Amino acid sequence: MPIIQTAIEDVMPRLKAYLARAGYRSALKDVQGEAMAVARDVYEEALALAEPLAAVSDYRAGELDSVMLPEKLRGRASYSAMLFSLGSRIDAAIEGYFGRGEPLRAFFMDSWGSEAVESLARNVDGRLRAERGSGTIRFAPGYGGFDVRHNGAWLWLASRGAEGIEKSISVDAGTGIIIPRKSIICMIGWDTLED
Amino acid sequence: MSARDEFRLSLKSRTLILDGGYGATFFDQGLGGVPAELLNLEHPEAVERLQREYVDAGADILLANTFCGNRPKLEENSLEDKIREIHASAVKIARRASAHVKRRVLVFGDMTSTGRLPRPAGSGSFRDCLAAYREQAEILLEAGCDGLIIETMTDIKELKAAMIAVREVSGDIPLIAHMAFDLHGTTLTGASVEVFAAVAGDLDADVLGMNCLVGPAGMLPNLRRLASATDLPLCAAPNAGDPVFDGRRTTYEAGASEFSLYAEEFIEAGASIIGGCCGTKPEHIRAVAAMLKGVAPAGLRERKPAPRQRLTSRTSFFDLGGSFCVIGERINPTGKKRLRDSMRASDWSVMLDEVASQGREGANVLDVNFGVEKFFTEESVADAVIAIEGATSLPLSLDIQSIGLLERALEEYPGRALINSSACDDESLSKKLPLLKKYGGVMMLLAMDKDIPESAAGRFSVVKKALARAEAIGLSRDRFIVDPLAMSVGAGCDHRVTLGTLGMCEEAGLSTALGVSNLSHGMPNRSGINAAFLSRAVDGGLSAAILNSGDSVVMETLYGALLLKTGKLEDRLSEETALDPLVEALLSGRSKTVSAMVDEKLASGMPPIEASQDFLGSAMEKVGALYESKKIFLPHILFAAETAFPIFDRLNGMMEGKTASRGKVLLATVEGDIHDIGKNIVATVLRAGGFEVIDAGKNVSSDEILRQAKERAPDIIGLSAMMTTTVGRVSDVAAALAGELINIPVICGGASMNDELAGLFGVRYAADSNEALALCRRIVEG
Repeated sequence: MPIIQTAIEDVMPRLKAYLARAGYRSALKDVQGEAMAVARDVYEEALALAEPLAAVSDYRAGELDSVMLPEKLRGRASYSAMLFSLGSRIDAAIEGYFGRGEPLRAFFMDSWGSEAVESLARNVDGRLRAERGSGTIRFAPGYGGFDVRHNGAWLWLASRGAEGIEKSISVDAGTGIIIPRKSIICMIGWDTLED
Repeated sequence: MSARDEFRLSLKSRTLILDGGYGATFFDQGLGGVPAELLNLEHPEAVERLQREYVDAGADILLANTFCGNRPKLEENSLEDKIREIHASAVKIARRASAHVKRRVLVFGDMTSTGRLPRPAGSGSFRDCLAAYREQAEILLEAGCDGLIIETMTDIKELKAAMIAVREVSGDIPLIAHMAFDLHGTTLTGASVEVFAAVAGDLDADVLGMNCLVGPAGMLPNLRRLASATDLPLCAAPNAGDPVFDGRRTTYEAGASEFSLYAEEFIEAGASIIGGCCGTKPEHIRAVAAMLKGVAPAGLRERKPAPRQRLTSRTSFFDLGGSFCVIGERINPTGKKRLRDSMRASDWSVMLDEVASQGREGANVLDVNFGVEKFFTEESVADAVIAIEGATSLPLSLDIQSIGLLERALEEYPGRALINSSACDDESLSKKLPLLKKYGGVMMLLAMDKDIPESAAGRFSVVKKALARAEAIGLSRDRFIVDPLAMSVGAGCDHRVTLGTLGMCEEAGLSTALGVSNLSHGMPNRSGINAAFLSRAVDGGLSAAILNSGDSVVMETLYGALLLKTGKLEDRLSEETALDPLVEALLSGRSKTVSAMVDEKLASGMPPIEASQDFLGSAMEKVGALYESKKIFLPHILFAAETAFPIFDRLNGMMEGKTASRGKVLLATVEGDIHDIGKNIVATVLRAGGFEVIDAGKNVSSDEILRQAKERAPDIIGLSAMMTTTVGRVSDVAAALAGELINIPVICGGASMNDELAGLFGVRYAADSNEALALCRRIVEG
């Protein structure tokens, strides 16, 4: 099964990273008073709303057409297709806050989501590397000239065998946009074959 | 390298995780009725299980289950006969609990209050506390602890006893000292964070910190205060917020995730060790450990040097070398029959009148002198110190020459005293320096050996020798203040030698104090002479003077001399206080205050449109300007906007259709793109900057943007495109507008957009909401 068990700590970004994403470039002590209280409150609310999902599927090099791979990742022995998502409730909360005229909460929630999904990806990535040894950087469509519309194919690769994922995660074929928004589709190339 | 050096070194390069609470877990396991220390003997498996969970959660330091293991505490449960067994077992259990991991887990012996606080906070004695802690520390060391922690202390004097006891037992064992502070940074018996730092900082601890009481949110400001008051490494171990008892069991309000959210801030504030106290469980510690992965340890960061010459009472402090220090001289029975007789009879009433009056007159520190000391016993000196402590919050200068009496006064005094004084001869230093080292404080060094050198250079030379001797036993120069010796001009002494010595000390960066009244001894018009001399000494760099604060000639002259020296006629307004109060209220989200300020304007006859434009609008423009100049961050402006918008709406409702704005901006996220967060942020920032914003939404087609442009006639069109696959739509919109000969400036932004691409599309680029606001302003201002 490609679904990876995750812990709550996996989606807990560092406070500083979260606040830096929200635009605070200084020391945490400078984020004072009510704004910090809102930031914390949103952190907790977002953590409760998040429905973290991590899926990883492994492929031997020969199973993937080279056009499916960004140039930087070609020539490896095996590949992991990876999907990370926080689910749709975060998106709904962000929209809800904007709609209710609470842009600060919306903004903090958005910042948290971006950091949290990255935190999820980073933690799973770290565990895989600890098991499998050396590999490429984690690479997502949309970067390094690799068309963002590859998201669709890699979503399929990442979630193959995991029933029902397509009901909760989708990619717009025309734009490569992933829904829910706080999701990452990416890949790693490995120097060895996964048993 | 000693274990203590190793521990200190590790704090420079890593953050250590301390374990969390024990009681709540034992209670959950149905062991709440058993004294926690007895579990070490009767249910060792329960203690081991919990400690093992802490180790698995990431704890680097386990506290042996000996918290209430001192003899007075054990006596409450008639367990005092088992004191050795309990401690030995506790340490063994903790060792077993960490045996399954490869990394080194330290086991610290845990100590806390005896429950019998020394006078005046309780009815116990300092020496009884000292004996109880000495016994516990000895037993813990025999049991093989790696270090000791003294925690949840509420009385600074009891803490002092505990720390001195530990160091009497061992100078090599790592020692962490904690107090428990309330939300105001004060302990139950009145010591502030700063007092704790100053007092405990002298008592040879490796780490200072705080635990329990106020939860992580409440502890953070206290920890920041501690960080600015000491240079020692810090430890923070908050409880999990307030306990909530539902009639059956106690739970705590902060869950693991909320608790861990503060960990990074604790590190940034300076904590090298983080753990938990009441209500925290292994999941809290696990979350903290996870949150701190990859966070640079506090030991690698530079901290601002803490004040070195802080004198304190139990509750307040005075920094020598900061402002000039007036040391009131009148608690001295020499030549004062009424005071002398009452003090010798241990009637402190006359003395306490002097305490109160000197405080009112402007003294910062009170000198305590017993005159002919043979009439006083150690107990009467102890009583006097306790009586004075209860009557004033001013720090004391202990002007006591008998070593026995001085030591007793230092035992009883809860603050960081000025020890007044020691000559620089071998005999005096050999007796008094050890007291300074053991009890802490700042010592006044008289610029004399057995005799008083006649020249300034001679006096300065003996001071230098004394300082070198002190440094050799670990007492830094900032633990001393030099008295260059003012002597009677009536006896032919040359005051210029005093001033010369003062100048040399000043040049060497040493603080100085003078007994000013000595100069005029036996002279007429003493006030005038004292005042004239003091004025010259102040100009020469004097830091403190022991004087009669009730002498108005001297005090007025002192204030005049200080004014002329410092040139400070008034305090400059800080940037914060100079901030427009409305702007300040907006930035801090105080909507009621903002609303009240606007209502006040309306009540004074200001029309709503002016209240909107010239008052609230003007303040929001200032907020926008602060953001543009990067003096505040994006969340600040969003917060201010959220605060202001409902009030703008209320004012608009009073204006009968009239509105005012800098200009109108039509915003949209282009077709195919659903990423509207950036666009929404820009909308808020533009509104906050005084623009009217028409938000067309996300995934908006070129045709729809064109239609709205024609219908609403905006001054600017702002487009957002996040994806490489949607960014081309910006070009489509620009082309559609050009095709209809609509000449409205288009600005754009989004992750996939850049300046070059915008140029290709014939539009203008703003990298973020800050730039968008600035760009819109430039466009409307032409």
